[in-house]
Amino acid sequence: MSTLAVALTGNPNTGKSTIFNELTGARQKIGNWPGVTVDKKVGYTRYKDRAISVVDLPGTYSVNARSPEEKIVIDYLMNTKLDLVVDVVDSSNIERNLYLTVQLLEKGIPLLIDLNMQDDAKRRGVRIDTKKLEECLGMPCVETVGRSKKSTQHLLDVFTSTIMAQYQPSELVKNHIAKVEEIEASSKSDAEKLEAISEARYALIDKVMAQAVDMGNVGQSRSEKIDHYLANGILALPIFLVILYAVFQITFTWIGQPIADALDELINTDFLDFMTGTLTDAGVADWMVSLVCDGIIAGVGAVLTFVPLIFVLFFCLSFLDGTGYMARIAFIMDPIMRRCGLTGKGLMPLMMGFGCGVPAIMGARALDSEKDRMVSILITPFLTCGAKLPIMALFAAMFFPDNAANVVFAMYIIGVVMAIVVAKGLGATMFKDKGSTFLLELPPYRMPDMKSVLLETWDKGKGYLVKAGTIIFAASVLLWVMSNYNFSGPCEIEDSILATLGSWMSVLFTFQGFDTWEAGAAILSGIMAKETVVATIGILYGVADVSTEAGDALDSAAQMMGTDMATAFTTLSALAFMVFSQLYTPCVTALGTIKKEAGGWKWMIFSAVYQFAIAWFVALLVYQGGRLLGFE
Amino acid sequence: MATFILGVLLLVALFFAVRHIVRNFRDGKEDCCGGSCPGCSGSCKGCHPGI
Repeated sequence: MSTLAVALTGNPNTGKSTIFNELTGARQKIGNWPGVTVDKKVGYTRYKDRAISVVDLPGTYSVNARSPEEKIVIDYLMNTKLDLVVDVVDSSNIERNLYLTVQLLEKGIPLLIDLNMQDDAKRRGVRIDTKKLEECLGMPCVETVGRSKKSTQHLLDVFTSTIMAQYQPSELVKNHIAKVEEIEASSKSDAEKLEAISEARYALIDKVMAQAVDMGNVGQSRSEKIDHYLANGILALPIFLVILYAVFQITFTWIGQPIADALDELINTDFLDFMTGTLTDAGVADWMVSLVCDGIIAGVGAVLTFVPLIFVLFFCLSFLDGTGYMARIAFIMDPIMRRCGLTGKGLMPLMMGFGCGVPAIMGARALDSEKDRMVSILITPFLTCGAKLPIMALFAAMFFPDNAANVVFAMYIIGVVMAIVVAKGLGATMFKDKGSTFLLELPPYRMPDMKSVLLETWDKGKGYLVKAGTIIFAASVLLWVMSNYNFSGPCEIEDSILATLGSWMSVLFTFQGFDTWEAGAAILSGIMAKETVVATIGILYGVADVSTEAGDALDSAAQMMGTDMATAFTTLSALAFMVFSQLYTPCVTALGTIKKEAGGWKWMIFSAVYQFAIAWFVALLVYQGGRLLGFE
Repeated sequence: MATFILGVLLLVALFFAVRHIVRNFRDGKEDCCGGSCPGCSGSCKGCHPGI
């Protein structure tokens, strides 16, 4: 029997991803951001001996092919042979959702209408007469509650028993299609046609609603009540900042840091001592002991120490995302984003940049205008990605032990402010065009599904672990070789290849206060991957040389790095280094993605150079400004 | 002997690490998709078939 080909379509945030996840078991993010799915995603399942392939199409409000998402949907639905196209409808917002349904029916696409989120609808007093709706549209309807095994089972039953060829649009829909064709053939202007077609669609929806839906006495929903405070014009921004601040406290003070300290003690003290002793006792040559302990364990260990912070931060962000609050942030930030020439929608891909710049840059595809896309791509690398986090955490813990969370928070803010400033600059110079429209649907607040939150946290954090075991491991070996050898053979670290390269680089930072070859080498290695900065510091300042008695809770992550580092930087030059690391040239993977997404080497080189220049200048301001104010 | 065995083990580990890195570059993958990428499971290709 052939595979049953099913496509899921619908407005953003109707629970498509949840249904897809339940149906296929694929690890797709169950987010609450409208427009979270940028490209199609395919999953497979088997039911009653029938293989079923399911495609999750991007959420869209229309199929006019104006945005990339709309184009993907309509191209796929019109050009692919499918057994079932499932239009997932949010039952509690059925009237608005039917607009897309009507457009799809106009295109001649037979639909299985999935009246999802029945629980929300019932709670709000919305009653849908499914049979009547089927009669009105001429298409089969099915009721589901997104996150429910019973619904999934029911859907699979319907999938395997429904033959769409048996369904024809109702007379009501046929008349509507005829009317639309009549309007399109008329001599009206394009704008007039669009308006007339839109009116015809709403007229049809009104008729359907009158016959099949009882909106009851829909009062203010729980989400609307919460939004009264959280999305309030005056309180929204302060509340957002408080929530963000709380996330940082949880990560860097209350939960993440204590676990990181314990792990640091374990790796950089206990394990290191154990390995040094074991290898020496086994008669391993000194240079090999040094490679393993001073190179690999110091480099990889320095990065692994920050794993708890990464996981705690991602857990908090995934949890917030799951509640529906992230979409509010786009709404709250819209006025600010508009001042930069972007819209709140532009904030969504940027938010991804706090995890990793690569998907964030790719996420800019979802933006409607060329200007928004380009500006978003070029400012994303300013944000503090997960890989920059260890740099910030290390320096903050070492040089600002009493205010570590605040300083890291400030670095995030600097990244955001710089992104805003540059967006405004680019919008006013290189990418001048008209402002974009912004349509954002605020999803209802929900208690996140902990399984999904944990799964998402693991998925995100796992990449960091894989990197530690691959690129950081390889880089640690390379850095150890480069720091122990020159072209004449083994040498002191000051005469090594790394010292030479670092010295060349450090010349650039004479006025920023961190003109040591070690800092230069760390910055250079950070272009490969930002995590490598910490690995380089770990190797160059010799974790292995640190007294094992130095391990005192919080101080460990940084102080265990050795006293050399404490003398190499002053508080002010450490701050300048943090600012520089926050803003400078993205890693090679991000640069490659910029080349791909922005369309050429020109933009990639531009991004690498202008970010370096901005970082250099801001670090200069911080250091020299700080000195003028009397700081050291 | 211990140095030799450890050296071989490290070389094997290094081979797999470098192979992983090279494959990532070749296939346009990125391990640390720590963004809010749908279905981020260590490979951007899962969510972005275009890359």
